[in-house]
Amino acid sequence: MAWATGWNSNSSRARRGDLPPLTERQRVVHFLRRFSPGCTPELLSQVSGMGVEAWLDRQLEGRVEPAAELDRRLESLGSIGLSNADIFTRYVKPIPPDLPTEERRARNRLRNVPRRELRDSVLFHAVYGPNHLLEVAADFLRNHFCVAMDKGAVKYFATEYEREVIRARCFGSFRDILGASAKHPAMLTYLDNEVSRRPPTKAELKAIEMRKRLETSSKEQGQEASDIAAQRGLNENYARELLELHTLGVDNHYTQSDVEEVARALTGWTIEKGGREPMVFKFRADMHCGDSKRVLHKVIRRDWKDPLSEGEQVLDLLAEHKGTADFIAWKLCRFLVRDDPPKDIVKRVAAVFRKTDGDLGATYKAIATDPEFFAPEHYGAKFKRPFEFVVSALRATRADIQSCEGLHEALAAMNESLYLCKDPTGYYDQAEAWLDPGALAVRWKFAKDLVAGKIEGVRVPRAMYAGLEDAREEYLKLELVRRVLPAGVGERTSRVLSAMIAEHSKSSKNPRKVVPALLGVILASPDFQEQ
Amino acid sequence: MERRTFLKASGAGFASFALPLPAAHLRRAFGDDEQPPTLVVIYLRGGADPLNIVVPYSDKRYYELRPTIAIPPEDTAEGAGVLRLDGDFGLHPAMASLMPYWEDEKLAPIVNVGSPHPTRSHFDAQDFMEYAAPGLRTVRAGWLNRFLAASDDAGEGGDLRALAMQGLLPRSLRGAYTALAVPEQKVLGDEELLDLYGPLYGGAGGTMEPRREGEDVLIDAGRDTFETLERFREIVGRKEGRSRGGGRYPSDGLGSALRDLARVVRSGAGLEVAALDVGGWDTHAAQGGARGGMANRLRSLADALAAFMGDIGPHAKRTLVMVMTEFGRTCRENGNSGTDHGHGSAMLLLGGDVAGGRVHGKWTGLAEANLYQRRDLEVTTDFRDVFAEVLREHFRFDAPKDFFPGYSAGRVRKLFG
Repeated sequence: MAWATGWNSNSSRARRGDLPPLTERQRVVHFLRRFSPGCTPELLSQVSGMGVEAWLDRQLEGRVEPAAELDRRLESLGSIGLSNADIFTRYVKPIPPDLPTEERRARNRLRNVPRRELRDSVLFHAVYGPNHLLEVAADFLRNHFCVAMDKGAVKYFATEYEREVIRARCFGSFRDILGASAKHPAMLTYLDNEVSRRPPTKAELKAIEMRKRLETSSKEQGQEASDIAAQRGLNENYARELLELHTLGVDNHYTQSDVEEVARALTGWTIEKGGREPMVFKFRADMHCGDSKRVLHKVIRRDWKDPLSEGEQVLDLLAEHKGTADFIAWKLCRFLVRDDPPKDIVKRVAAVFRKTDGDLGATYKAIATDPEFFAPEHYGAKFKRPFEFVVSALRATRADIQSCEGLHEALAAMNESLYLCKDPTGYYDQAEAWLDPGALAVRWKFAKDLVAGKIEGVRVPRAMYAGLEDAREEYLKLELVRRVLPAGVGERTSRVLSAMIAEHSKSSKNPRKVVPALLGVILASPDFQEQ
Repeated sequence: MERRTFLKASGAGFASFALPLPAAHLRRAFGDDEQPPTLVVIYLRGGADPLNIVVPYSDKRYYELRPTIAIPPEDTAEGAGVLRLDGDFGLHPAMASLMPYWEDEKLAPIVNVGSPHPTRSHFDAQDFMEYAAPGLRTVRAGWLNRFLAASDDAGEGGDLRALAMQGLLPRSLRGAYTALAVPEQKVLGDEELLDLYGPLYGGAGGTMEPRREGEDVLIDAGRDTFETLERFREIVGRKEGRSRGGGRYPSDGLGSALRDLARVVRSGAGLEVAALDVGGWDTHAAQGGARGGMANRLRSLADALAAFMGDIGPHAKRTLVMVMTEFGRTCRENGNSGTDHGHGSAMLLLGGDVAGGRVHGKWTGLAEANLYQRRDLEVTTDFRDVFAEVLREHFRFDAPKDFFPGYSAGRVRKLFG
């Protein structure tokens, strides 16, 4: 076992000369395994017909088929179209201490509805969504601009965040999604910028102390109140992650002083929590550090008229920075090409990012149309994350999902619960983070339970097995593999499938009974874990 | 054709770790009748607040800095006071079940312990600590894994030397040496699973096809899964493992994980390293004092550990538990009755030959001038001092010069008797 370390070493990798170029079919399979949440035979023939570029353009322009399958399932999710304010009004009723237990429980249940529906909607979109590219991009950006629902009110804000920040801006400019995430209450809460403020002046502390002293006639309590107030001040949490995770990459072009200066520029970016338009972004001048800032060797002057613009200038600076282009290009290539992407393609993709002012759609396209993308050593070179594994298995089996609870449980067992990543890094997309000894067993269990109908709310339809009832051994195997895994299976998996069919035919005349078991084998196989 | 080139095992071993790796002889042998020692590492994720775990109750500053969340020196009407350890420190009152171990000199708290790196980022601080390489991002093998690889004198395939009682390995256990991430009970309990899918990864009827040089790492991971799970099942199914232990575990995830772990320890199967994460320590708001959220977590932790130590019976004297976290928290409570990311922290060592019954580490007090950046506890004991001493004293393993990259041995803390 040396993957954890052999992973990044260039010495062991098969050289390009050792592998023949991809066939036409393999090129399309490869493309679809990266640019859709799962390559199905239907998608394969669609893209083979019109070509990669034309298909990409259609997805980018949103010219996709209507999605009855998806709409039908989203219909019952009453909260997913609502604004933050409406979610609060409808789902977050006050729970006073003297409320009867029954009513208290009911209100707590109600509070959990938006969170559950959001998680369901993410799964429904990924499995049934007609815009495959959008689902892949959303998956990337949801992790890049990660927020987690176990922090404060994020669970009420995440619905709007997913819809209006992530999904709505997947194909737009990077500056646009960066700004939208910076201002959204979900991010403002998650990374604490909401409470980041100019530290109080001495005069203000004195005033706080005096007020408390008058109130309580206690000198100590006055001092205490002023001590507590003195603590409040700059919160670097968001500023640090903005530089480290969202734009430049860790230790790339910036220093601790930049973190503090960015935090100062962004003071006052907070949430309006009362009034007519609650739960929206609000700039509060009284919380803002009102002097010049020096960020990445540039001076941002105090703007008396429009202090909000100081933060906007910081975001402009970051979005236009060469370091950001390099970092986003590298991270996208790591996501879409391989865990250690070749430098040359990263460079070309970064150049497109800069030339198009961070046009995300153009950047995805730059990767998919780069000759390096189709180099044979990248074929099947990514290990699916748990989310990718589960979604691709559901798509491959044309699963009918009536409720998602069982699927969320499975994802939790695989340590990738939606919108509950423990770190603001988002879930990692490298094999290193997921391929621990023991972890595959959880996928095997999922495969077995899925085909046996033992995942709550999920069923593999009979249509999946149509025409296979009377099939003979070789045809049965080939046809099932064709339907489930167009990339095909390796020699060992093929052998296991044949052995299983042979074993079954000894004891039974009815091949139908073995088909679900064969399907489970394909989903559990090493071939299905890669993309 | 195998195209899974991304996963091709290189045999490079510690290639990206790039340190000369020591041979197995660095570990001095144990006697024939001796069980190998066991180390259990409990990682409190989120930066657990040291000052409300090992409470400096004799320091007036402590009460000034924490008007709403301090633990009182004595029981009061509003809540329990500290459990006195000595004239200066007391344990949080929720941790009463560990007091017998203190009195028995089997519990050793260490104060002012932490990383020389200033980061207040959870993930950097955790990475740096679990790789035991502060500031060095190129080190990608955990310190426990490096120990296992370097001391692997039995050769692989023998005993189950290392496992994590959770679905993914903590970084301290990741690396070239195979450690098992124990999946949830639902998966463990499905007895058909390995028979059904093992053959896809080269396993059949409880045995594996011979390993091939340079084979696909995905196949390798499947094979490791197959082998380690078989072994795990066999071990927990043993008579020694099944016999009833004496522990009264809390009914939560930590309790059941430690209960399972105790069975492995009792089975005498040669477990050397076990790791377990416990979350929920990032207490920015409503941290509570003698009662409250953090108190509940501390109670669960203490009760689970006490149950575990009782449950493993005679193995307790060869078993050491380390409780650690990535950094401390601000000495002063914040405006939300919580604390923010800090620097120096505390560790607890329990069991084994630990020199318990006294508080270790050089305490720097809470005077503002003595605080790190005037807000956090200073670090006077590098966590690597502790790691090195644990390896040396508990495992009789002398960490070779570059085992902890960029580190030269610090003060010996005499943590073991």
